[in-house]
Amino acid sequence: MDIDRRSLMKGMLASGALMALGSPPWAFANQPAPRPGRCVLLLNGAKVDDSFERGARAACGGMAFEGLDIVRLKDGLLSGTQNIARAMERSREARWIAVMDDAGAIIFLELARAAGARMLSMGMHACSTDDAGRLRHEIATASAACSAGELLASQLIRRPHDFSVRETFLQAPPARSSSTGWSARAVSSYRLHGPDIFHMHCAGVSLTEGCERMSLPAAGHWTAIPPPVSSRDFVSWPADNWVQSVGYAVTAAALGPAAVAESCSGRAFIHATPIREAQEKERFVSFIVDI
Amino acid sequence: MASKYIALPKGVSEQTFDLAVKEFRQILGDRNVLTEAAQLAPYTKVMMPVPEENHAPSAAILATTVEQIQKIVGVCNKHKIPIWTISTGKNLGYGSAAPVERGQVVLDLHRMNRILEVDGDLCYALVEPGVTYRQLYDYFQEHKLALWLSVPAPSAIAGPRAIRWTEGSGIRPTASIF
Repeated sequence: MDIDRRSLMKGMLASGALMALGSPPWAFANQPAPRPGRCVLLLNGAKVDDSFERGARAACGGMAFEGLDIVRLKDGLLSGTQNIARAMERSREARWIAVMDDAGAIIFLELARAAGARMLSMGMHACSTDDAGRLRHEIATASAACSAGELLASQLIRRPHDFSVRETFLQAPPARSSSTGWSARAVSSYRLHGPDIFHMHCAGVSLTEGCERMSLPAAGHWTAIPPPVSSRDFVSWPADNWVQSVGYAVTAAALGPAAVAESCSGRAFIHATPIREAQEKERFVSFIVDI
Repeated sequence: MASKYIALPKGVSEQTFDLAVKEFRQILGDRNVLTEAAQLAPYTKVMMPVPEENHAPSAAILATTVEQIQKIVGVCNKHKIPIWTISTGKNLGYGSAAPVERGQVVLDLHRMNRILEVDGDLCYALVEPGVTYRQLYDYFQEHKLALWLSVPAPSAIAGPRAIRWTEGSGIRPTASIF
């Protein structure tokens, strides 16, 4: 980890930045946060498991969280539904992070619903199989306290990734501050007005290109969002690949630091770069669920 | 967007829906009336190439008795609130537990899971809607019944009630189920 949380905070305190900019959302250990006492990482036996786990462990380490249990399904979820149903019964009061392939994701969701779970977030992550190797992330977020969208975008933008992260809020988060833009560098932010307010944060693409990539109306009533007054400095981690970045961001969101500062029903983060890294052509689904 | 519900039934105001939810809670208790986004999120997955917000329920309510269902239907009739009923909600590939229209109340019957009667001679079973194929299979084994289940694609976690209701077909020479 290149910046750890403590040194980040010390540095900000020493420079007076906290007073000037306001505290970031996960600044203090005693700040009320929905951090779980215990967290279970369920891996479905997919190829991405190891990378995701590495990112998850890095997030736990960076946040001094020691309550992560890892469950690996040897034969996948499709042949182990009874075991998982029983494990859910035994793991009441735990927060689960699950990594599934498409088929396993549906079964997991069904088991979670039957167990009366609260689904905080579900993300679909894919690297396109064409030459563009574009990363696409679609996240449905039910809890504003466990939003992975900005964390993930902030993590991915550190590398020459061409990506889009689209996050849909099942319930619009309450406005926490006047800051509604993305605090990453060289980003232009826009708001689409209408019954469902949508925010789009573009880096390396114009508004029109961003609309095209997100299938949004470029002719809609868009207005520019001024850059945020305060910087939301998320702790980041130098991942080796994009799956690790997802593991890091999803786990960090599950541990509760990622309250949403924007008030909108959905948002997108888009980044384009002329130089791209070769990407692993993978696709998987992530969950954050309270059992 | 400022509503406390993730969706509202078509043509029903938030105030009217508040009244209905209050009456649901009186019938079922607070824990069995789900209105929060995190509680309803597992009811929105449709597995079809359409926006899932088009199938967001306004609430999910979990009944366990016939009398509760009768009262719930009465409340919905009074306030003109559309219901979407699911048994186990495992209609995978055809909408799962999500309602067909945004804002419907999901009446979830998966907790009604008693096997009432199985006749090994006449080959029928009387079950509550939340009974799964796995439960029924275990019952056959336990009671040493020489019956064979034709289980649909969603496998042991799905239930036979809705499959029969919707004329689902099984893998048998006659393509009929059980």
